[in-house]
Amino acid sequence: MKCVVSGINIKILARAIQMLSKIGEEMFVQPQEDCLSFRTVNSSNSAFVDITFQENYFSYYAYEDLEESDSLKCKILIRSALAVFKGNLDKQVESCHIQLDPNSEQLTFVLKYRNSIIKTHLLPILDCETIKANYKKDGTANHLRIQPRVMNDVVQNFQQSLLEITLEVLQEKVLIRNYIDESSNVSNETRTQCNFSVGEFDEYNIESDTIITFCLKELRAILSLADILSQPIDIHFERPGRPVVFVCKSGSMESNLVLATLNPDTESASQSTTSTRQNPAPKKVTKRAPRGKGIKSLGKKSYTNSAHSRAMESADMESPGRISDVSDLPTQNNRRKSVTDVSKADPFTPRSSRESTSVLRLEAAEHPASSERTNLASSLMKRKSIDQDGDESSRDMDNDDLVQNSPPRPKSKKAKLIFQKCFQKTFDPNNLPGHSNVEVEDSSESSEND
Amino acid sequence: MKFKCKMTDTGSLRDFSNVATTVARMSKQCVIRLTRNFFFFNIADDTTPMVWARLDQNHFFVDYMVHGKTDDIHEIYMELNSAMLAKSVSTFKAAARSVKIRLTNKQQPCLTFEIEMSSISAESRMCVHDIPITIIPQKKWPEFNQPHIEKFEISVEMPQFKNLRSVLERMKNMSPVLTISVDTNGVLALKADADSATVSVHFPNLTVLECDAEDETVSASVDIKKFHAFVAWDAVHPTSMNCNIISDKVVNINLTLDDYMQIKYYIPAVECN
Repeated sequence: MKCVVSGINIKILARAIQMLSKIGEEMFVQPQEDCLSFRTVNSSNSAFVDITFQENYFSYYAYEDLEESDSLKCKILIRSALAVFKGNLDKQVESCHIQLDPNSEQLTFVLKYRNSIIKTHLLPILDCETIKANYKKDGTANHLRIQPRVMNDVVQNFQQSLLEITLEVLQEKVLIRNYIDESSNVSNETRTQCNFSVGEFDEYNIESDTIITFCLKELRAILSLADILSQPIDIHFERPGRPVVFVCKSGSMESNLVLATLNPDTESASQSTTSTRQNPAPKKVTKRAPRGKGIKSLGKKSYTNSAHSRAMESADMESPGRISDVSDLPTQNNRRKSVTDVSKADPFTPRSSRESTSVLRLEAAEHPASSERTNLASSLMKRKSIDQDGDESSRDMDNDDLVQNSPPRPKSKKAKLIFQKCFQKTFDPNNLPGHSNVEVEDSSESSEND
Repeated sequence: MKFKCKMTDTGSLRDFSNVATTVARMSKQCVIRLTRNFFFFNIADDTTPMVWARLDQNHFFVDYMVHGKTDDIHEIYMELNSAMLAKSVSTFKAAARSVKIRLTNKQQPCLTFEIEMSSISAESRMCVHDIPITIIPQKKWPEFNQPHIEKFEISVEMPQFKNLRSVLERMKNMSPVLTISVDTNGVLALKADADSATVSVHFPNLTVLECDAEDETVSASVDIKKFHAFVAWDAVHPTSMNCNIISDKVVNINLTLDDYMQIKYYIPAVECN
């Protein structure tokens, strides 16, 4: 795949990548016959973005090799892509060439500057895989269209550190407020609610009054992108627990942001089943997850930690079915099912994940029962997160440790260092000066008796 | 206990927002004291209060009403997180048309800001912030009283903020202590001692407002960070500033914005060797 982006479109591409970087850490590049998609998913699988540039966005676009189309997909670190577009580019950069060769190890970005400087960036490809999310954006029950400026004004009222907001749509007005779960301490948070009228929306189709809760950070990301494109944002959603889709379309590009929403049915139950993780990502998409299993809110870090310990203590009180609530990864979500089921069941399973994690997956085919655990363990290790509640899962954790075969603990160095010399083979106490002097005579029994 | 008021004037909204932002810059927590005539912000440093910002309610608010715990008390003291306050009022400048402030009890005592914002449609946009507060019991009120100082030894007009700021920002890195001295001829000197150099900056030709000193110069050493923190108040665009000193005891800086806002900053002197 080869393509050339020129003029103002470079800036849009740069902004699009910036937006992706606010959501995930890895970017999936997926060339198609007449368009190029950049996708990412956040670490907790609660947000997915797809930004697709149509052929006419590029001044040149060639997909080429149709036979090898399967190898034309890759995953790179967003950080490396961000570096390409660092600094103030729009004035000096004339064009940007992107090239992806089949079976290549790099994705090539060539920036041509006006002063005839050419910068070539080779971005290492991490994996040959892609990702697909299963979501519906047309014909959803509720559809709103709003100018990003209006939405921005509203969102600006909220504290910067706020994680989740609740959107309530009524027939005649819309309420946006910060989401407060029962566990959070009300005295630490400003509660904010904004009402705005239907008149501020370009389009407003509501089937029924609905309340959904989702992450604010990701919304901010797409708002800033839409603001630059000055295109309205379409919001499609159905009911709580089902994903909300934000779409921002301009002539030649379309960005879709799919966000998990909080499922009220499992909300209270899931509050005790939190996990410690570095990135406090709140929710889990439960597109096809069985009913009654779903999202959890991992809102605040402090809360997370305490809840974690609580979950450990009360392990046997938890119902076994709960495990899937805490799932962090596709495989966990459906760990009771067969392996083949897994990739189908979760909307965000990388399509070729079975190839990419081949070692573990192959094992999986032979020993279906243990395989899921293996997979789970490796994923858990990757994310440094420990999820647990339920006695069953803690038992699993023990097994996981075995499978993982963690390296032996390094021996304490201190013991070696002290008197180190004494243990060397060349050491002879007789060589030490004054070794024969006796400072204190051995005490004898007779002297003690005296 | 009851409190409510309303702000409609854009100038007042801007000033109020500036005050709240500056308060948040200086301290995490702040105390709001409501009396019949004034709205006070009080900032404590560790435990000792340092700043009293007094807003004249007649200028800032309409429909202003305070009822204390009982009929004969007309004051309320409350403590709140200043960053929350600053964030909530940050939209005052840009979009707000009018703001209602009330004391409410929603699960816990809150200061509620109801902001009416302009919008693109005919109907206006409403935004409500509930900031959790802690009511301060009456027995603790005396802690927030202003220090009573009969007379300062010298009182002098302050140089412009922008000059002060650039000087202080450099001096801050040299020494933890700043010596402020004012002489009767109207020269304000800021002196910082470093190991290898002593830097002093003189601002001449300042008006001496009052002088009761026996010596020709009056000086006091203060924590340079505390003095520098004060420069944040530039944001409110004060119309007059003066500096009062009692030798080796206290430095007091007063800012006024016309006649409706007054900010008093007390910095205790530190031992200087």
